[in-house]
Amino acid sequence: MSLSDAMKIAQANFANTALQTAVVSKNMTNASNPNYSRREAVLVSTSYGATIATTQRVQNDALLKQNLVSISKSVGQDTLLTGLERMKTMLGGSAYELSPSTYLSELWNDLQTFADTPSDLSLAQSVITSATDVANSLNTISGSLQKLRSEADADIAASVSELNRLLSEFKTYNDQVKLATATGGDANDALDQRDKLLGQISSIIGVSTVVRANNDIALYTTNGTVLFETLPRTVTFEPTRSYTAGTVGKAVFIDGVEVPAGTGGNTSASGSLPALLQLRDDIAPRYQAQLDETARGLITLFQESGQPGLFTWMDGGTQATNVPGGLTTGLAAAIRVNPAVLSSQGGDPMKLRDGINANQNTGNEASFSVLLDGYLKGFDANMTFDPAAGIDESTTLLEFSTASVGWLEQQRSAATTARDDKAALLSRTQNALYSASAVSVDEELALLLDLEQSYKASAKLVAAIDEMMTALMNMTG
Amino acid sequence: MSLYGTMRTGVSGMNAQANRLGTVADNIANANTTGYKRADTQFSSFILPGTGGAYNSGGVNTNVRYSISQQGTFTPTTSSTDLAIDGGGFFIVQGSDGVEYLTRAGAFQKMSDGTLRNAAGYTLMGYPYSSSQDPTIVINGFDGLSPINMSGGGQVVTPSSSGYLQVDLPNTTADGETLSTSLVAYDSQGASRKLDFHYTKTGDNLWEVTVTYTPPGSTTPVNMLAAPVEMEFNTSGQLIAPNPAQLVTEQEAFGGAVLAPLTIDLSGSTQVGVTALGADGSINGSGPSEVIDYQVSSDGIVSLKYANGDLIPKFRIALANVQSPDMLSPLPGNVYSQSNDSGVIVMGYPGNSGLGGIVSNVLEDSNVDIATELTGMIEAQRNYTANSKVFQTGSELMDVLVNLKR
Repeated sequence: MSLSDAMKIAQANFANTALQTAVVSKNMTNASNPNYSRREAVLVSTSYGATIATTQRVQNDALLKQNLVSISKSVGQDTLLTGLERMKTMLGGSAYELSPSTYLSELWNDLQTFADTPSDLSLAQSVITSATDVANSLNTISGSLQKLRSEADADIAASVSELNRLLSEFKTYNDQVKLATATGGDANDALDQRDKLLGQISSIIGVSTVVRANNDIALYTTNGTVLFETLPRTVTFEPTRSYTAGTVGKAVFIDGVEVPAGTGGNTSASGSLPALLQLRDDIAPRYQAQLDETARGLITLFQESGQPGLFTWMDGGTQATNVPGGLTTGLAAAIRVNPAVLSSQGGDPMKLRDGINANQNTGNEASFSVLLDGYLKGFDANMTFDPAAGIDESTTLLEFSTASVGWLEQQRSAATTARDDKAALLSRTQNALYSASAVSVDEELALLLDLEQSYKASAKLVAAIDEMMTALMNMTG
Repeated sequence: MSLYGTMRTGVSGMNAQANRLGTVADNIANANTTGYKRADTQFSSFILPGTGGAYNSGGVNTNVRYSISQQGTFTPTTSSTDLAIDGGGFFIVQGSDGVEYLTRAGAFQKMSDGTLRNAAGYTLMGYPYSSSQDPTIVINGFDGLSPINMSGGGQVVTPSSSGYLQVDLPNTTADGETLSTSLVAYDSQGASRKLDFHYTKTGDNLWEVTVTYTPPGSTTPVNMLAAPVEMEFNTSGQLIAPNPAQLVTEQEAFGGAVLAPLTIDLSGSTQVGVTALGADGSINGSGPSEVIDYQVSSDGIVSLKYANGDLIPKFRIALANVQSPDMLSPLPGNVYSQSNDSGVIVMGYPGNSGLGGIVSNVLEDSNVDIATELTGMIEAQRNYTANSKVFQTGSELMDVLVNLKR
């Protein structure tokens, strides 16, 4: 060791301290950046005796993976809940006052009153009004439901194009990470970007990561489909613009494998994509089936001698003349009050008492209530409903329509509870992740003080060596 | 006689100190020269045999030595072609005269022709890689060495040849159901070819694997296996067939390019109670990518860094040493050549015993210490003065002697 060596070592410390300070300042700048992982400048002794600072990135792979899972579960649940909330709004909100079951019970009340006083035209009129309300409610909700499906379809299309974009961007940063890792460069910034993209991708679809040589990541969906492996796999989807009850939405394919929809109110969907598929292909069609069965129940209940009575339906532009025998998709959108009883269309409300297709009150009695009593009895009798509706298969019409509301409410409340749980899990994992990898300004400041001292000490050293050299020079004078 | 002798001795002493001052001057001048090794003077007495009562003053012999084997401190730099040797070896460089020399000065720069030249204009030599195996070395000579050339030669493609694919197949899958995954391979011209792997369950613990490739713009998959491969698992879900656990795809031609037969290692695949296919796989190879940088590893392998992250070794830097490095004869430009006393040159790779390793982004400073040189200089100055006094005294005495006769 010599004076020159001592000078060199002190100089090296300047460079190291400068690098460490740069890292601290970068950390502080990114203190509020959620996608930033704290860097640490570490001094290492090398085999040739020098000390150099290398930058390391604090990361916790286990927490990161857990965070990705939490993100996709939480977003999936949120997406489903938003859809269910919208369905609830269609039914009028908390009291479900716009639901078919509300109007149906009004119709039943009015019908009872009318049956007690069958001669009263105004009572007949109010039955017809209630019947119109029921039909309108079924039409409106069915329409809104299909609108929801077409919007979900549009959202799926948007998610798919976003996913494709994210995956190609993921390739850019994954390649940078691979290159930097292979060649011993600084991969930290690319890693930040890649982790951020992972978060964005997992909000669309749940992913699991497999780390390969050189920190190269392969992405698989939670169903094991390859999403990214060296190259991004294409995600394809053919959007359907308009929906009717019978429209079957197209599936989303990742690498040629269909993306399965989520199931249940506490959905199994990971990410928004499976949740949107569940909404479009499971929840909405299921509720549509319930509406269709309610409509069929109404037409069946008010039928007269095998032909539609008070309620009829439009079969492709013309008024149908038959009573549907089983689940008829789209019936809720097609159900109408028979124009024969609508005074606005030249009909006679009193035909409800006397018979629409054939006059059964041949004696023209003012208190003829055979038909009306029959209808009321029908309200009390059990009917058979299609299992596709997913609720009671043998029950009365009123109970069926109430159960339909109950079914929706059950899905919604399950989704709400699950949303709270999943959001709590997300915030917990995020907290854990941040406390492991985010920047703590206090710590950085403390470190900065240390660095300042170290820098000052080196400066002192250099000054001392300089003085010694000067003394030597003066000696040669 | 003795007065003249004294004067000659004084001159000899002055010459010796002048030599010493010369080395000091060189050392100080080269205090910041990369790889410079300080010169030092040692003196030996030159005494004439005395006869009886007469003393014949002799003189002093100067012996210049070089601290070649003493390693200097390291200074970090930002250039990856700045190299230093941590250990006893020497770089082998070639001068413009085509002769190989040894040096410790590793401040190399990439020249327009791709060669690495240091500040003194010497070109770094090494053994070229013809394959991934280490080039053979000639132990006692410079045969087989060629200038290290960093020029990349455009795009480079590494066609795929093998890979692995571990899958966890869900045991709940119904017979006849197919699960798929895919891996990317590269053909001989570097185009990516996505291979789809289809696993069809054929019975209890039995699966059939097919590999297909669907050309772009086509919907008809091309079968990549001569026959589907049967996979069989034992009761604990471990793969027992095929044995060895691998499949080999057929060679496939795409226009002028060829996708070579790929050996895919299937070992580690299981059939377990999971609900969805789990896969972990990779196929080697890389698409066309250009050189973006180069890297010198501590064992002297000069690799080109390609944009896809691959490192392809091109050369291996050889190091040389002699039995007595301090006896090497120094030549201008911080280079040394073998001398009679140094012993023969022994070649080796960095990391071989005694040669040391190569450090990139670092330069070796000169091993000159200014303080030592300055104190030496003062000493030389004083000694020179003292010797001049001896001469002066001799001269004055001669004067007295000559003045005896008027």
